[in-house]
Amino acid sequence: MTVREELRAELSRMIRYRETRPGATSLEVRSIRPAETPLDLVAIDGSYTFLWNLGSMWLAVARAAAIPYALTERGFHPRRPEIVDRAIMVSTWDDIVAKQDEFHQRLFEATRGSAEQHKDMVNEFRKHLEGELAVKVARETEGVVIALDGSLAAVPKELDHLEEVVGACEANGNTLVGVSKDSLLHAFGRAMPDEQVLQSYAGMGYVRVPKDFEQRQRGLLYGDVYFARLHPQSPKWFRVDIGTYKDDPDFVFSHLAAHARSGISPGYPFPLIEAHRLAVLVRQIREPLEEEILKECGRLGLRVHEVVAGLTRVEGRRRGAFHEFLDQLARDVK
Amino acid sequence: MKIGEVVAGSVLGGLEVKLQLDNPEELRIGYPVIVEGKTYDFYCLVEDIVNQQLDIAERLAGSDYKDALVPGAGTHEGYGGPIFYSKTLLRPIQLIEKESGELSQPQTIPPYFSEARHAARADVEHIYEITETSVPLGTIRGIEPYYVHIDFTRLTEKPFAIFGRTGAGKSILNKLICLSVLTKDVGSVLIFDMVGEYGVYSRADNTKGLKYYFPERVEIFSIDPKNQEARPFIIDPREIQPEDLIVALQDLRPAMVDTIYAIHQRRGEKDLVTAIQDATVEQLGEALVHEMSLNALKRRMARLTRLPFLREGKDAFPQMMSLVRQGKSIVLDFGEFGGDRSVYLFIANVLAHRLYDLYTEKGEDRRLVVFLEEAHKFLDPEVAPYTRFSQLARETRKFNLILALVDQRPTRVDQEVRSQLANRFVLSLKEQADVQSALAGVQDVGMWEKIVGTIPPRVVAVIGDAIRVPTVIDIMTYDDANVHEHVVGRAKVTEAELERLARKADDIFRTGAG
Ligand SMILES: Nc1ncnc2c1ncn2[C@@H]1O[C@H](COP(=O)(O)OP(=O)(O)O)[C@@H](O)[C@H]1O
Ligand SMILES: [Mg+2]
Repeated sequence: MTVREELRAELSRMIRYRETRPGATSLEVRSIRPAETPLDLVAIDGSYTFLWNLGSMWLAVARAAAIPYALTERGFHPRRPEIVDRAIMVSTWDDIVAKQDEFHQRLFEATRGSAEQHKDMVNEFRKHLEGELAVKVARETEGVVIALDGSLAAVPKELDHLEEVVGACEANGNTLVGVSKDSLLHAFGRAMPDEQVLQSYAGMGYVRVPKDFEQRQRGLLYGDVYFARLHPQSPKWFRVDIGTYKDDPDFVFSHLAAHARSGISPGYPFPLIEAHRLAVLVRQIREPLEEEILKECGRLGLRVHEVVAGLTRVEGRRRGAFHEFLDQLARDVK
Repeated sequence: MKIGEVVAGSVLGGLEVKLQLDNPEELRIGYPVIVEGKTYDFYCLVEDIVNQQLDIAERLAGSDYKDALVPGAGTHEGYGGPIFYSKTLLRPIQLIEKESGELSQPQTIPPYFSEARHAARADVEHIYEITETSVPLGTIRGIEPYYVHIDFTRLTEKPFAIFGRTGAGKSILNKLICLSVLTKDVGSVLIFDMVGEYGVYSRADNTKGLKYYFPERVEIFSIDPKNQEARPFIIDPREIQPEDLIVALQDLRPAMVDTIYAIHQRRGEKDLVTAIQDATVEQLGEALVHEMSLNALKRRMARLTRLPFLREGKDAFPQMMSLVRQGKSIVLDFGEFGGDRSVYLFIANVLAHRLYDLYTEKGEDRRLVVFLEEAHKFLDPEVAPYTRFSQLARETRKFNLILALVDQRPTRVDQEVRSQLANRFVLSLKEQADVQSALAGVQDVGMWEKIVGTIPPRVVAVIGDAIRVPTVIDIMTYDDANVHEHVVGRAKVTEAELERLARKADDIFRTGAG
């Protein structure tokens, strides 16, 4: 068989298998009416960047950012954002971790066994900062929507703040949601991810995932899981987890949909875009921080080329790493 | 009101400001803007307004938004201000020290993120001076009404010009300038009024002229004998010099020019015009003149000799000068001869000649500002060598005789004359070459070219030492109310008005009695 023939055969199989699980639940899509006077919405997101690597130790900074938005007929108006920047050293070697404090050890344990553990550790740290910031926001504001980036699932459980966030939101009448940019969930029991299953439904609306899915996730989930198209022109359905006001999803979606009316990103809450932009700006402070590293390491007695060799890319790979050279080569000879 | 923050800049290139206006249309080229530095307020003019290329804009353009919020500066604010923002390029033209209010040249730039805001009255009050001899010509563009003063003592010390395309408002602006000169009495004016705009009423648009506001201090001379209200303008042929003819007749072959000089030297008691008419080859000799050149010259002269003002009689020049010495001003109305090139060149040259001699040799105490409407007619590079005007422009600033040009085609004004201009009033110009000629040698010329190329009629860029900083001015509407309120003043006019009324009553009384 030629590669083309193989391709065709596999394609036909894929199409046939698409509807494997017969009797999948029929979907009950409920409509959404965007709120006329939307609640303020605080969007929270985070990001990180690696800076320097020495043996099994990595130095990184992570940022959590919260940006509150008021939405009037005229448009989206932000108030002063809150930004938390923190540096952290993670190590993937037990002996070193053993010398670190209890928090670092928890990070290490929670990610044990992952392929690129240093990344997962810093990512967990980033989530930890986001969680702390969400708790703070939930405690300090009342009657707003708090929108987190991602689902409201606590994995790994040990490092999580969601319980606290939900508690504070309940106490202050805040609506808590988590909006996932991309979801590969198969809760509806189809071969395609749920996002794609729903693609064929026109208009705006929301639908709850089947109960048995939530049952399986119980203990990790802090919200009810929905898929929603928040604007008729939205290019996709997003997974939305609702953490408070669970008994009134109409209310929650009406306010969330109001904030998803930006022409830039119909269907996705605009404040989350800004929170994201604000979070990834942490990468722009790399340069001054690298200078700091060079100076400080010099003071600590390292030679310049040793220090420079340890400087990393955003994802933690050393700048001069061989695979990067290969990547570069692959791109060049294209 | 804050309009944005400085994001880039250099002393030479100007300041780049990220705007936080919902709508860039709120700003225009030439508007004054203050950038708040640490020690200085930077007084700037808007040089350009830019919507820069944005990937997201390109991606979104053409989308159908239905009930979504249309992306824009007003609807989408991010953590750093509007997501879709415009920028403006500002040109600092003056520094104001915050503590002392002292002014200086912009030799530095403000820090990043310095705030830019619309200039307010209080800012410009720091900058512009009101002096004993200053008069406003209009309001400054881009802020709440503020009348900007021009100092007329300074202005009339050196040559200046008003440039702008036809219909831009040069003549009206010139009237305001002449009225200001008269109001402050910093000198007398002599206007070459080519189309009859400056007398009592303009024949072009019926607006009021200089004599309307200063009936006692303005005298009209007319070349056209049909104009009964004016004094007749007569040139005594005995005053005619060879250069006058060379300019007036134009394009003379060298042989003819030689002939004129030859006759001039041997004319005896005769005036030059008569001497040419009477000249024969026999009398002068073959060595000096040829039959053909002489006859050709005579034929060309015939047009001039038929002109009504060239006759023996009371020469107008001494009359004019005696009026000037009494503090009066003169409008020289060309009537229907304004379109006759050889006529106006002839007259203008004769007058220029005499003025030059009078002011440079004898010296005159009374300052005289000579306004040339359609200045290119006298200062075209082709005729400039034969007229005294370029000399007037170059030399007479020490002699109380000042040339002022009004023209729509600065390119056609001799470059050497243009380089003498100490002040320029530049209105809208469309031809790139004219814009460049009008602004040659000006500081920040790039910005001024953009401004002058885009301003509407009745707006003028004033650049020179008669104003503290170069400024774009909305010329005031030329009507009685404004002229009285801002230029000639109430009291004086009431007086003049009374006089006029009295005279009118006189007339009526006399006719009634007779
Ligand atoms: N400041 C002004 N106020 C009122 N009318 C004006 C003003 N400036 C120009 N105009 C009118 O615009 C027209 C052109 O003005 P003008 O001064 O004759 O232009 P230019 O001399 O440049 O050809 C005239 O009809 C004039 O009355
Ligand atoms: Mg005119």
